[in-house]
Amino acid sequence: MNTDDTIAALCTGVGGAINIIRISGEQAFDIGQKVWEGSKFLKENPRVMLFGRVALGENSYDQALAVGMPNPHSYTGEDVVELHCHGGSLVAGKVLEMCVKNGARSAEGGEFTYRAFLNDKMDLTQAEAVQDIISAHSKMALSLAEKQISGQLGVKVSEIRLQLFELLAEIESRMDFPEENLDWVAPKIINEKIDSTVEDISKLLSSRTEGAVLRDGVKVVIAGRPNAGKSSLLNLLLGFDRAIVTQLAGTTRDTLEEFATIRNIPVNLVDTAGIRDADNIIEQIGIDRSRKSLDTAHLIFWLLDASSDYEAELKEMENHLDADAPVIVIWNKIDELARLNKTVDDLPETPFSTVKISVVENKNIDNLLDLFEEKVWGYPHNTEPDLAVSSRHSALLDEALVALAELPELVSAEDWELSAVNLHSAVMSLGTITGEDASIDVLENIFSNFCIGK
Amino acid sequence: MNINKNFNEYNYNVIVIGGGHAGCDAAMAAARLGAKTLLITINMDHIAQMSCNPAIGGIAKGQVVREIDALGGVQGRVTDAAAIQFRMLNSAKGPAVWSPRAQCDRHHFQRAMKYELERQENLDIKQAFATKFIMDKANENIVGIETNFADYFYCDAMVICSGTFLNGLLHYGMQNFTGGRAGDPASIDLANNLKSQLDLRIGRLKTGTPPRILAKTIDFSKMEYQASDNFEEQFSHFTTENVFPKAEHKEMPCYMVYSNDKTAEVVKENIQKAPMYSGKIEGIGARYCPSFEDKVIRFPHHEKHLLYLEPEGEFTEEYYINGISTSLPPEVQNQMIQSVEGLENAVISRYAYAIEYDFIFPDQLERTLMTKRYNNLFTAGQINGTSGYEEAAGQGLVAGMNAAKVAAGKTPVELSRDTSYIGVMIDDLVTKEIIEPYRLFTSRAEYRLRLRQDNTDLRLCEFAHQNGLLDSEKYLQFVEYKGKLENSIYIAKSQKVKGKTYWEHLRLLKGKFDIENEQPIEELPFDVNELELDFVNSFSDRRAMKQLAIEAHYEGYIRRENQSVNRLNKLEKWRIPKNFDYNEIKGLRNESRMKLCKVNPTSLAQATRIDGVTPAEIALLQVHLKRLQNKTENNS
Repeated sequence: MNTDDTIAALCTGVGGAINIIRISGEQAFDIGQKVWEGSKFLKENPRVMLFGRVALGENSYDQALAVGMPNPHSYTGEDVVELHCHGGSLVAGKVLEMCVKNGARSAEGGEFTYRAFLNDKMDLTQAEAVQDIISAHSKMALSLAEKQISGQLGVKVSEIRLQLFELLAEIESRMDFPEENLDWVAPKIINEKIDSTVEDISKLLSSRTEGAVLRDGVKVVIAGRPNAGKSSLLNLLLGFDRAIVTQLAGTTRDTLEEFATIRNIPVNLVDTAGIRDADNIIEQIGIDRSRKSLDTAHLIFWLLDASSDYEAELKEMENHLDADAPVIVIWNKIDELARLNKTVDDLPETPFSTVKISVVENKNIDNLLDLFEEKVWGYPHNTEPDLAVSSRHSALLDEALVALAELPELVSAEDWELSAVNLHSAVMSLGTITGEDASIDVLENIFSNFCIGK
Repeated sequence: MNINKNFNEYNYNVIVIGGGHAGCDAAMAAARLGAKTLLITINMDHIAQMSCNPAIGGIAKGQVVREIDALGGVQGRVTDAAAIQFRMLNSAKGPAVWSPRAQCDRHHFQRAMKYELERQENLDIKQAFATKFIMDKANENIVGIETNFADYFYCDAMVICSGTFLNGLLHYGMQNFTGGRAGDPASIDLANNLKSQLDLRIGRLKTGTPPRILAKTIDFSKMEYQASDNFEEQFSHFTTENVFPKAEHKEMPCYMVYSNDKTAEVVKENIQKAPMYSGKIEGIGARYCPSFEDKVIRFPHHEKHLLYLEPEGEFTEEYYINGISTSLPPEVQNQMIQSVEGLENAVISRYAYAIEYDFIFPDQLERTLMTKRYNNLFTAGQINGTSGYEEAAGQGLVAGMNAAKVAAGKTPVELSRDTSYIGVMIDDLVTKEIIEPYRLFTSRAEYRLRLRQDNTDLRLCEFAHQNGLLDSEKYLQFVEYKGKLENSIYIAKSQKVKGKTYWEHLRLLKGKFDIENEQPIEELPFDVNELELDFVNSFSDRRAMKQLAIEAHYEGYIRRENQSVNRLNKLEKWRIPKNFDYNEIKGLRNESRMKLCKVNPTSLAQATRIDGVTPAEIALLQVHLKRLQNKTENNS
């Protein structure tokens, strides 16, 4: 990616009432002024919202607001001009066209943030959080991303890294100043410090489920016999009619996928063709797809029809459910039990977590969702986590843990040169998370803490 | 020597200015490569003077001395001749940080070195002051040097190893004198001409030395005794005939004693008389080698500081008091010294002092130690901002070798960070900002497990032989040794007992094979004689056996060390063209841009080592290099 030209792009989503076009780079003020007409010059009135109009072409204008932010006090750290015009893709396209005509390049995805990172406006974890905010599917994901963009994760990792760094300096001083009689701490104390660091890292890692769930979402596959009410449940969970629902078994011939946010969890809901031995080839293809979906599911909702002759259905379920994903068995249509002179207590046990609901009467749906939440988080989840690490972070944290795992033994044996190899590797892994360099001179640390000088 | 028709004009291939530790190994290296070489020194009797402590080696430095020896250099074997005590520092720790050090007889060291120089083929020595550079007609290139005797020495290449002599200024309290060190004059003309004729950027550094005390006035009974290690180690890898007989006493002790609150009190009462604190000294001193007043002021909670008393030689009463370097005035020094237990009646024979001197900022050098401005001028030692006899000699050797190469029209060569401490040091010097006299530490090396004192020959003899530094006799000794070692490694890796190879069993020793302590060896489930090494009778076989144990111990860890520096290795492959224009990159901060221009790194990896350049800026640089690469590919 080129970084020394001036870029422009529409920063707001399509369909809003306002379009914001951002121009960033050395030419930002020149280009901004060329497409802007107002009573005051952008450059002479920095960080003030000005009223005027934006050129959309020859003799064509849009009323707009504009603000200029000279470097380094802008999002990217470069000169930035933002034009706030009316919504609609037509206006946005015209304004961008005018910017390009006057020397800007159309920005690629993430380029503003990339420049912000290059200009030291944020560390790597913050840059990543920007993407998380944009793609946040739920309130919780958004609030986590906001914490990360404020630098909370970066600060925490930096703190841990610094602690290890100080230990490294202490260990290095033993090897480089053996005759100095420095106040070296006992190996036992070093190991206690390492233990507490391992704890800190493990704490960060414990948020890996949250991180994965909130960033990537969970895939929930709704499966079961034809006409068990799978599509009805899908529509209920989505809050609108997505699937065609009929009384006829085998109506859903293909798998349907929809995104929804359920209890703050981004969910990829997959409705499948009911599994049975179909005589219809299209239905059969659909059924094969259903089976494949089961293999990639994070969580399976297996629907049973409480009003049917379910003996065969139960058997079938056990045949199909050898997947790794956890399963929630859902007895549907309990509203029809009274008609059959049965109660919910008559329904047989299954080897899985089970709820008994009625989609039609909207009964016990909360029970289903409670269970769903518990399955996703692995435990009751009432409080919001402080941080949630991404898969990149957790891989590097794991790497650091591996290096630290061997340390207590090496330190106890006073194998300092080997301890240093492992500590250094852990410091590097943590430095890679924040984008800090691991090359801060260890000696700096030694000199500031010890009286050296034989 | 070619004498021109005028009797005061002479032609040489290489001229080395300065006969200290850098100058000696520089002159010897150039002469070994076949260059007609001249060494100019102010005083023939002060060649290779140990101006500060009477010891060679130490942490990371001992490794360097053995590297110098593997490169055919002279410092190691002269140390072996002059050694009066030998210790392996860090011997209780892992073998990667073992560091040999020898206390030396100062006079013996000087005489042995002078004799080596005198006997070296292709090398002349001249006692004179180098004063003025002889430039070509365009006034652009250096063609020789004038001396105070109005002799004109012409040369193809020149090495300056001026130590602390350039505009040297000695401080004793509020008094100061010009001088290169106590008892020697400073080099004033050369210092001024370095600025005015050559236009190099010059800075000012400071170092200091403690007082010497007469033994008969010391009560050693109140001090702790530190004996020599009693074993056969030496610095040199090679068993060549001794040019100079060895010192008679091999096990002279050192003594340890602590300063106390009275000593600190004397310093505090007189601190206004310290030139460092009254602003009289502008040069910057080293944090790892602080004056005693620095220790007292910077670490007020320390009640006592450790002092070492080191003998200055076999036939002298003088002791060097390590740990109490000071520039306080003589009368205060007497009070300080006499406050220490056992020194109540001590008589100082030579007062401690601080010295300020000129150095050239080493970012003006290439990694060959050639100046970027003049392609036949090299510098080595304290003039480059370093401290230490070992650091000086290591640079001297590289500078001398490359001066001879340039004189012969060949391309100068570099040592890399992964094969030697000398390579680490030179890369640091040309890359990092010098804020104090530079000293090597093991923590400066990212490849510490590989850069050991036991394998310097394996790391460097091949290079030395290829570059004409190592004669055939020594090279053959090395080849024979390496053959033996490889044979025993082969046996160890192919023979199995109890389901494991001998090699795996050897790891039990944790790198410590000590035949005097046989117990761990007897615990090995095989007979070590099977490794075909005669470690009872042969010194070199014993060395091989020790090395075998170390290699087995570190093999896995070296692999891991490589992994953690792999990220850097990848960046090493990104070469930066010499004429790269950093002004093209808009995102760089001004400070970083200036540093990059100054250092002009040859690779992205080197750029990461420049202080203050951020990872984000490295990313920027990488983007630009990539674009440049694409452009070149598209054009071809």
